[in-house]
Amino acid sequence: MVDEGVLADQSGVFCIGLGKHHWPDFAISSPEALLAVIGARTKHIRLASSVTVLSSDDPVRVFERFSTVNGISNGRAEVILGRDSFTESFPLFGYDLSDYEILFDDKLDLFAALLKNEPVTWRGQTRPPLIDQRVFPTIESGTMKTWIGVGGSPQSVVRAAHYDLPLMLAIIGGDPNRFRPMSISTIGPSHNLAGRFVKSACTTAVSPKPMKKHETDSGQTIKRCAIGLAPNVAGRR
Amino acid sequence: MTRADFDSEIERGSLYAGSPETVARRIATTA
Repeated sequence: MVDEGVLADQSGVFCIGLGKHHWPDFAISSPEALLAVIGARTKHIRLASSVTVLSSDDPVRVFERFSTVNGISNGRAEVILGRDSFTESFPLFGYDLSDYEILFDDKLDLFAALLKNEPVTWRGQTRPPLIDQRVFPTIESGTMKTWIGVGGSPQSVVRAAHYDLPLMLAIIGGDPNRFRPMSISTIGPSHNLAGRFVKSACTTAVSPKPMKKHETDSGQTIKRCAIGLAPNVAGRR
Repeated sequence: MTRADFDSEIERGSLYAGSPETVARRIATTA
């Protein structure tokens, strides 16, 4: 994986995103560790998770890990926050799957506060409060690029708009036009988000169509494409 | 993953993206 990241950098790939799972045939359970190594061996490629399951993690620890990667890589770390398609991390880390929604909503609220790179006072439902708490290492450039991963839920678009975070659309094969209903022009009016602008990008592993530039029906442009790697230790992909 | 699974994902998109509800809906649609 590290060598693939280095090769991607040498080949001019803009961004590499590493997924994670916690089962036997998946190579990565801790993408930040690999991203740090890749970051130390590369110069240009952006280093992302795809995705970080914030629901079954701790926002403070996620921030600390990625801000460390960010420092090692001279500001190239990017966090893609998601809720996860699979559920194995919930029992593994002691969370109840029935709290699937509140865990993400609550922790996203804290993570958004941490991104301001200032002392945080926060109170929520799923973890102890923070009072005027600083989190280290701080981000030298002021903030850290953070996305909301979207796999098909309109509510994810609403969340992104609420926190003014960009979307990362999980177009893993298939026709990208099926994400057209995810546009803010479609969802916005029913969620008091009319006129809001949400930046979008897409991540793709395989696609039958060119993915570099797509116009959404609200006139926004999906600006770039990342490569999401979901490595399988058995080499079946 | 078989070759047929891979080819299917290229054509129709991965079933396994999005929330568990989204995944379940896709699986139900393609079943």
